[in-house]
Amino acid sequence: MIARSLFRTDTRLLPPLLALVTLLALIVPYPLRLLPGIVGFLAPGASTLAAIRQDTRREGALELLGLGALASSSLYIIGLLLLDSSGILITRTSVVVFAASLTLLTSMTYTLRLRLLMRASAHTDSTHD
Amino acid sequence: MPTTPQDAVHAHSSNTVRASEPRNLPYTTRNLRRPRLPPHINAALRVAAFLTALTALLTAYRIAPETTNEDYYLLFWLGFAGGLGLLSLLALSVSSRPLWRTTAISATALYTLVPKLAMSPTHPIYFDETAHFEITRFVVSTGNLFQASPLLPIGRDYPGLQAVTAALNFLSGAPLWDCALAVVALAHVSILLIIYRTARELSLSERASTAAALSYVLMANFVYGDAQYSYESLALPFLFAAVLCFLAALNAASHLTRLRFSALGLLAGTTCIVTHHLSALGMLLLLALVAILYRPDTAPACSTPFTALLRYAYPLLLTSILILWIGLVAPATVSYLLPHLTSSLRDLSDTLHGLLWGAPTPMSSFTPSLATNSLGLRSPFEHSDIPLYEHLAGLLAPFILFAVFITACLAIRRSRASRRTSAWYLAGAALYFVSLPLTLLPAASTGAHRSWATTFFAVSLTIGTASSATPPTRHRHIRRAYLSTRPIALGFLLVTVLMGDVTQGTAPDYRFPGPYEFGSDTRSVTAETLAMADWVKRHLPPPAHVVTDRYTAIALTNLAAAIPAVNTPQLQIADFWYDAYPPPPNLLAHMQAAGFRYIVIDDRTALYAPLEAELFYPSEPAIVPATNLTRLRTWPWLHTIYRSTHYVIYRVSFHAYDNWYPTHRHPVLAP
Repeated sequence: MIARSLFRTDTRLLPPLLALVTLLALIVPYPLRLLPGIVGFLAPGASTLAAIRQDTRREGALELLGLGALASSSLYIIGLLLLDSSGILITRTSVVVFAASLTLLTSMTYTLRLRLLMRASAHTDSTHD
Repeated sequence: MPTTPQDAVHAHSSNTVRASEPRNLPYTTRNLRRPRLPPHINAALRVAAFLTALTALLTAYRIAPETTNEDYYLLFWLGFAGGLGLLSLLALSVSSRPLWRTTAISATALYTLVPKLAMSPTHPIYFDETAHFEITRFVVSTGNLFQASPLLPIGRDYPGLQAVTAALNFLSGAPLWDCALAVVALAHVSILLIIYRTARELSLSERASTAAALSYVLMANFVYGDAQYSYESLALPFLFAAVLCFLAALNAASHLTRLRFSALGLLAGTTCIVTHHLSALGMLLLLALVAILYRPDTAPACSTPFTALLRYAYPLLLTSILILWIGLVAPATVSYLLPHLTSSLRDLSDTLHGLLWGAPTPMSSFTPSLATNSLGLRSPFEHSDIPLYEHLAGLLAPFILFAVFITACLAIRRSRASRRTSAWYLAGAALYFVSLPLTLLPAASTGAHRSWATTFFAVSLTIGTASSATPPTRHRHIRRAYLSTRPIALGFLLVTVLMGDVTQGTAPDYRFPGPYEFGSDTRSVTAETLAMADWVKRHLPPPAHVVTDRYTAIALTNLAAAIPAVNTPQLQIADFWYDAYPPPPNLLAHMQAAGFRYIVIDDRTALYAPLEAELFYPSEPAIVPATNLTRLRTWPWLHTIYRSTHYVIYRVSFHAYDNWYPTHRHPVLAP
């Protein structure tokens, strides 16, 4: 049961990890960074959706990515509107910082979920024992 | 996003759900045994067929500019319909796993982008995407949203597309046009995946949901119009996502799930509002239909006071956000959309008057270039040189879709539960059919076309429902014959609808490259235009502010990053072309204030009438008087700085004009 929970949790951790890798990949020159750039763009949205859904594995990975693209777009659009209305220029630096914040936020959500799942799993196992 | 409880709730309630599932096995085509090829040979043949289709499609675009006959149309359809057919078969195959289905759906969406990519692989060429891409360039270079393009002033108030493209550009470091194409591709794929999810949310079977998703490809604007880099292309998936989340929230079994989907839906809906005005209105229409007509037989846990509140609070909240956005940020939306609405209503009233009283009445002059008959109705395809089979498909397509609509209505009529879950999208589909006759009215035509992106979402779900309808008889042999011929018949009908809708939705010059045509957005660029744009780029201080006609403006914006003036009441630049009097001082003063120091003249404006849209404003004279162009050479305050066969570029000396005008304010008379 614990192994199963960990596997499920690892799957959920994948999008934020991908986003972190992508942010690191920003130092790679074009055209190599195009693909990780797009994946990094998708990652916050995919993570958000995965957090909303109870079980990522039950849903199609492509649907998750497609919907994740939209969620990412939403987050970026609303975020950039907030930056713009705050008088902050939309530059490469501000967008990367914004993306990093999104990634950090989703990663923290997942870490919290991981702990909750672990606790629930341990509780279930002890009950079964 | 169906969860286990709602699947359980709906599994018993929908007769559309399991029609093609193992329950019907004795009558399905799967059970009609035929000799089958080994799987690897079968797969290899399919791949070869797909590559052949793709090659045919690309060949059509390669030969189109040089071919004068209609061969490339045939090649296009062989390649396009063939490729889509193969991907659809993969998606709809009984044995396909969910991942394969969604992969095939995504591949279908990407395949529908091929024609548009073949038209503009390196830079925008259509009018709308030229304007939107110009705004995006301004956002990236200035670091601020809400940038304006003279080509599309309303684009300033809806910065969603530019924000997301700029973000992707900054994150990936890829060229801006590649990022623009990536955004369009992501949006295109998302549309079909969301329709699939929505159909699953409505408890349609996997195959019926796949059919629903794939059928959105039949929407008239999906292949070209909504594949362009424009705000509608990105707003549509947000629109559909807001509807999907609303349905998921209404179906949710727990408060937490309901809250999560509501929050995600409101985020998607808000983003739709800040991205495109018409899509936002379409979203509210669909949400209203869901709120009023969607009544699933839910478990007691789902029927809570909170659900009842959510049903109306969700659309009302998004309506409030739209009103706030228009009121505080985008007030120009009202003056932008209102003339379209009022002229459409006026045309409708005029036509009804003509039909009832038998006398032709004057139509509004909103779109005078469209061919109309004595009643003022448009004649479809009258000036279009498309092949006969496209013409016939265009006329047949609405009737085929209507037959599918009737089939869906018959399929759900026996089940009360199905009626309660399907009524909202059947009503939406009915709105689509109501809009079809409106395309015959000159002023209402554009509005009707633009509404299809929204209402066809409902048509797609209707097609999904109809696709799993059981045969209309219990007789064993008739059912068997029906099921064995259904794939071929459906394939033929769907290709007809695809052909007809693409033909209806897109003008030939937007579909294929071709020889030079004056007044075409896509075919008015020649080697001479490229040379002129290159000269502007190298010799005029960037960005060059130019006064010119619509078609030269598109070319200079795309090829030389120029900023063209647009004809407005304050800046009536059309006076240079149409007014017999010299331009008045207030016009020159506005030009000087806005930095427009160059005038670019294409002398073919005095020879030909534009093919698509007006040069400057609706109801303008058909041809520019030649003397109005030749007089420019004699005015001492205009200095010729560039001249080619057809183009002349003048630099304006505002000081010389001030001295010259008082003695030359009279018109130049034609000889």
